[in-house]
Amino acid sequence: MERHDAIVIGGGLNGLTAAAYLARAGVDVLLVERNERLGSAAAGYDIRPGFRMPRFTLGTVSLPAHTVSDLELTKFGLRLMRVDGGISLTGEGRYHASYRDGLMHRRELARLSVKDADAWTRFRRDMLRANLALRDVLAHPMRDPSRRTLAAFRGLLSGADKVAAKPSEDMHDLLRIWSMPMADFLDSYFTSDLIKLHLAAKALAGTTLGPYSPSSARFLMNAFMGEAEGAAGGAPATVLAMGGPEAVANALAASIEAHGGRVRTEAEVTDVILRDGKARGVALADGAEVYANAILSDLDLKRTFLALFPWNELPKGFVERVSRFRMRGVTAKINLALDAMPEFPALPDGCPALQGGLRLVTSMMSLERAYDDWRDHLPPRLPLVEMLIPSMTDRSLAPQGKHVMSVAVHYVPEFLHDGPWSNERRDRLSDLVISEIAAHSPDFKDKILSTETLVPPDIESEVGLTAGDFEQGEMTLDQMFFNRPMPGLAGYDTPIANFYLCSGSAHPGALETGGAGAGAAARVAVALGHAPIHRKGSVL
Amino acid sequence: MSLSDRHFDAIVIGAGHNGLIAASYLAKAGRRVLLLEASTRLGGALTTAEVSPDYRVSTAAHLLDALPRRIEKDLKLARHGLRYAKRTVQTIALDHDLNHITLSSKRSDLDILRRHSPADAAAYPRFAARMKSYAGVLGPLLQDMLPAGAPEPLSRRLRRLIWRAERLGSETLEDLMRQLPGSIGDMLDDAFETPLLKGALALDAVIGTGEGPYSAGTALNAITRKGLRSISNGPHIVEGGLGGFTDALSAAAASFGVIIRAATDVKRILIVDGMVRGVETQSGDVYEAPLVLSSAHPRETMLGMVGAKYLDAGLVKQLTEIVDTGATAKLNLSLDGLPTIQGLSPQEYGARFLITPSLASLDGAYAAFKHGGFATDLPLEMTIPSVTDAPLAPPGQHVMSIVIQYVPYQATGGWEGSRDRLVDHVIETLSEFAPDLRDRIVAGELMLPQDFERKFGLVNGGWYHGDMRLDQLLTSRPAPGLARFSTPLRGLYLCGAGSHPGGGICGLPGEYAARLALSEGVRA
Amino acid sequence: MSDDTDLTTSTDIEPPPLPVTENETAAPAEPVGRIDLAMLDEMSRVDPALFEQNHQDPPFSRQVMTTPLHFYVASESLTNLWCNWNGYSVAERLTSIDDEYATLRHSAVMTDISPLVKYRISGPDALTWLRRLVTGNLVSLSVDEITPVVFCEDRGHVVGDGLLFRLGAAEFRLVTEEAHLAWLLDSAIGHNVRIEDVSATLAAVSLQGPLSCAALAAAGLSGIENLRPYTAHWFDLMGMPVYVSRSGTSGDLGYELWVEPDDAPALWLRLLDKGRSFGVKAGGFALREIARVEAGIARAGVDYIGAFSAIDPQTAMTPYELGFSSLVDLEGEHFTGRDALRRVHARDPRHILATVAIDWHEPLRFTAIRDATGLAGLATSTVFSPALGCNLAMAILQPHAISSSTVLHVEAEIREELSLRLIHAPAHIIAGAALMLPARHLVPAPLTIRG
Repeated sequence: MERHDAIVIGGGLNGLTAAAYLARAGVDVLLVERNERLGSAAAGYDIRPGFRMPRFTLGTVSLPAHTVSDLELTKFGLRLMRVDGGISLTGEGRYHASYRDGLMHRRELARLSVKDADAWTRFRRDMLRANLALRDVLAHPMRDPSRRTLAAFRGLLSGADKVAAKPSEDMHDLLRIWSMPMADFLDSYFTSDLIKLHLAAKALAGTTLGPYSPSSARFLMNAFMGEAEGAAGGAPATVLAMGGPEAVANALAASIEAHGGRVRTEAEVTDVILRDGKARGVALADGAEVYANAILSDLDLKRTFLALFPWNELPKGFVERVSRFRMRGVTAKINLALDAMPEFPALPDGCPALQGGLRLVTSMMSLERAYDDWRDHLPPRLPLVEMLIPSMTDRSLAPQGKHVMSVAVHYVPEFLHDGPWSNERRDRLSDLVISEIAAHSPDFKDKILSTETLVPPDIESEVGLTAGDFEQGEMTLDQMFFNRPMPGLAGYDTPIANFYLCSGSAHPGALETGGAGAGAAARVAVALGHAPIHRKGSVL
Repeated sequence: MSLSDRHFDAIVIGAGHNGLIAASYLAKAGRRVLLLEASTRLGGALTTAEVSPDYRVSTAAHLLDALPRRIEKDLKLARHGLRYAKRTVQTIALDHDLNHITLSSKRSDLDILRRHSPADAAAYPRFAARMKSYAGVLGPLLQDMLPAGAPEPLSRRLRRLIWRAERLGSETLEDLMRQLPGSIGDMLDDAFETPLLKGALALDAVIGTGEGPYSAGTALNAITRKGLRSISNGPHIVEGGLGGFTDALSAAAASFGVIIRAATDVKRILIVDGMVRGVETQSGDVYEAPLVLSSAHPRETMLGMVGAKYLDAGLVKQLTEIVDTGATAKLNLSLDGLPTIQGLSPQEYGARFLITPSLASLDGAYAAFKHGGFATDLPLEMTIPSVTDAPLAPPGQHVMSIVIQYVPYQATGGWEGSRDRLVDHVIETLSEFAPDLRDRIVAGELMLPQDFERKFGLVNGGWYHGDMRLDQLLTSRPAPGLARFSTPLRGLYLCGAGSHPGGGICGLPGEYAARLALSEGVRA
Repeated sequence: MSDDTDLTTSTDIEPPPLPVTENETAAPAEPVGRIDLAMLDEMSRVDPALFEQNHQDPPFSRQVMTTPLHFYVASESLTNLWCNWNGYSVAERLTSIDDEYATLRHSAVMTDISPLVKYRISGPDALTWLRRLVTGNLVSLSVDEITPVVFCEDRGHVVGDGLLFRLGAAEFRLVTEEAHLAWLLDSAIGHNVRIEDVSATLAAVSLQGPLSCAALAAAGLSGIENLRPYTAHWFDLMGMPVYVSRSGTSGDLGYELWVEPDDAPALWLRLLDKGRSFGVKAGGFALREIARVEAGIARAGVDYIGAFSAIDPQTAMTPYELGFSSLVDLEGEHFTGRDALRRVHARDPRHILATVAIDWHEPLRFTAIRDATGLAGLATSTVFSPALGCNLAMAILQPHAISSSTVLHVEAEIREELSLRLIHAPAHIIAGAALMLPARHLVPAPLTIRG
């Protein structure tokens, strides 16, 4: 009978991070992954021989610096590259780029508005301040305010005192960024529509809110999460990994194995083995059973509880609560192998920011319209198109002179108002997107060697993300912090003893890559009687 | 003018309900108060006017929602003519299949709901109780902000809030925690399955605002609204329409000795050495007082009447960024008889009717509004006040008052020609429930958000002097630098809906500002 | 103006009446409904053309930005050492720092100060707006007068400081170290005022040193000796209009000359040519830094962080903490931050910016200022003062470090080939400026080294 201290179900980045932290803490951990390759959504593939690219995600990486250093990922082969933060291009051929260098970014802003160039200082300050406040929150395990213990009550009171001690202007600034619609929020800093649109499109991509939705402004600060306070003062960098996002998964796996943990791919868990209402092990598709004292699930909340458990073993009402957890896909993926580097005549020659990606934008209102269409389950008419050409930065991804282009299309619904996605509908989407791109890039269509289109249900069936939701649960305020995945379960515990949630459905969700994995590992290490895991820093 | 005509203990700018209430409290405390109103009428947007000769109806808002009993008693409003035509107004969601849902936990009402969904009939009383307990936690936050005296430390207020929440029980608290930052739409989707019920409850939460049913923060809206209503057991229908309420307030103010001057537009507030000296009117008259309370929009008060040069630049920017969204229009109709609403018993005609078939349709109307249009099936709140208040119309005849939700301030392509289309849509929607309505119409008037702005000075036609949204509530209302009714200028206070706890005809900004001004004791 | 104009009489002319007075008849600010926000937008689109550069060039195409004098400064440079000042390449030093310093203190040094940020402020409400912007009292500022100003945000934290020139009845120029257009325009809401970033349309040369007046007179600016400190005047030099202000950051007699970019080279060459017999030479940015630290002048963005840049709200500072107390008038007209400053005025400062002298005879590198118990403050600018023969630092100190009983020192590492020497150097606080030369105040200004 195979037995370990802990089993992690699922080899996404959170699962791998959890296993890596556990292995490092001396826990005998086994990670099982259904697919052949690790990384879940971060997995890569050869779209055609010699053309390697991320299959499901755009391909940028956001990894907290302390995860890299805690788990020694550079020692295990991870090479991160910081490039300029991307470009937005309008239909009329106007563009705005993000540069890491403060002076360059200032000049780029001044090209559109001198006032906005000066306003950037304040905007950046406020983004960093908001992140610092968030860092304080993420640095501690999420306390559940409804947990009725004296300690929890005291914690609440001291939290209230802390809030009360802040100058009201600081509180107001925080309240503004957490509650305001993005469009209004940007209006209070900038005058140039293009600058506002550039920031909004970048921040909203992949979220389930529109620019005029209340509480959408907070997505602006995400890009600044990895920025150090003393940095050059420019726009936040885009981070790429040599070899693509799958390189992060591979480095994590190497880190696990180097510390005595085991990683098993092509091993699908069909059931969690329960004894006396406690999780004791997992049953694999090949009939094998593996036992452990702690089991962590890197699957999303719905898939975890609705697929791995007999519902009658779950507490009364729990299945209903799980099914109320909101998960909706918003992103379709179009992968392209290109015969040559596409040209964008509207952009200046050799613009380094192109490495950070290119977005096609129209106006704030059309972004809102795209969001409304998504809510109405209409096929996108004016989608937000994000392109990344990782082979510009990492030449190993495509043959000499050729390129791969990763395209994320946003506000794409999981199903359409009149039925599911058909192949014809997929083709129409990819035609629309490719024509949009071709409108800015002559001969673009002629350069395409291969293409693949994946809509949210494809992502669900390939990766296992319910509804194709990369965030594993919408990051709306009622599903964040102590509400993630639901009140009472914010500390990675579940109603099943010995069973923990370490996926993005748990706190902090999409706020921090691997954050839930690390948090769950810390929880499990304590439960297994190991020394507490110390993380060096936190988000910034 | 004699000296005493120009010198007062306090001047109140704007004779809307908050201005009248503030002036009354000051006068009641023995101050000599001058109340100045720019228009020829008092009451601001709370007025009853003729739709056509002999048919009278509340021009804008038509229900009294949240006026605390305390104010009613303090100002002896009953003695000054405040009468309720109907104290407890039922709310009925009209159903195409004639199974109209009355929003109440009464057994007979739940029986009808059971026809829609047995589960919802079982869930409704629980939901109502839950909302009530949420309101119990948050309601006091709206009320106890600052009565007279030094503002209570924030930490103590938060502690009390936590204590109240703690007593809820963990399940309810968990639920509140989850719902609070979310939307009313998600909250209702979790709780119910009947589209009509969800639509009606959501409409009740968003009506008068520019938010959609799935906008974050609307759950809080619903809860605070419930909280304010629970103070007064509203909504009520006032005899004579809301103009009747204004008349009672004016009479009360006069009885306390407030000197009221209508048609007197304040041009500016006089400032000397950072202190208020008085006001100057458009016609050049100067009135002096060491205390000035303004119930005008905070931006108009601080930038229009005071002037940016007396204020910090950051505060000025905050003031310019106050968002007002007009999303509500009003249609008033004179009818030559009572229209037949199908499936309604005769005693139910005095109710308040909510008309929107579902959350989806409500959300669709919001989406159209966002993009500068309006839906064909606009969400409506309708009353027939003449049912309970017969003198509003000639004998046997009636007036109908319809609040239309999600009507944009600026329509794409302009309002020219769209007005008739809007009226048509509304009457069409109503005719589905009252087929004879069209034949009964004698006359009508449509008030668009831009008409509210023109007529009542409501910026963008927004009703609240600053939208009631998360970043414009509590200590951020109207701006963080102005959050406690007082201003950086000594003797100047903000007493309008732009101040905490905000709009919704609760009168609390007027009362609190007056109490604060009295306690801070600036004397002539 | 003609060469024989007598400045003493012309500056006695009554200043023009102020356009807006304090009395209550002043028109109130426009109600917000009538505030022309479109005008603010338009002002924010003023041509941002950089000196000599096409502003449509993408920022990555050329990293080196040059001033109109770049070539002429370069031809004086014996070192080819350059540094970045506000994005522009300026000479760090042209010869040796000792040479340049000796020239500054015994003759005069010319420096290209074109990278400073300049704003033109005009319109009927210009003065009203400026009074609300800056902490000081501008009531007595006449045309052709200059005053140092500091401006705060609502919480009384310093946004920036600079020099304000009154060019006309309703025209001003604000010269600052950092760019502030967003704040200036935001604070203009409710005022009929026009604010333009004219940085790139105005070049400037600073001439500082005991013989600066003599050199300017020799260059043809007759009557220059009668120009009083903190005043300015238009001169005609070879047909070029030159606006000369008696100002500078050297702590000594000095002038700053403001000209059209196209005229800057001719001005530079003329000064170099006519100044040669007085020993006038060109100097670099490093010298300017030494001189300003000796004069106790803080530099925004270096010695303090502006309120809109400070990530940690605690690092934003009040004018009192920065030693700008004399520039704050709490009793006059309202200005942004006044209410907050009234509240903090009496309170103990959280930090204090001061000049610290470190008794060590060779240049040191250090950041920490220590007392017996530990860290007492951080040095923000450090220079070696040849005149005083010691290291000088501008430093943000904890309040207790100011007390005379606190003994301060710095620790520094001195590398000698492959060995390292750790030294402790005693330090003490200097009240006011380390070096302030009397010629700075003399009128008429000395035309020879003896004055």
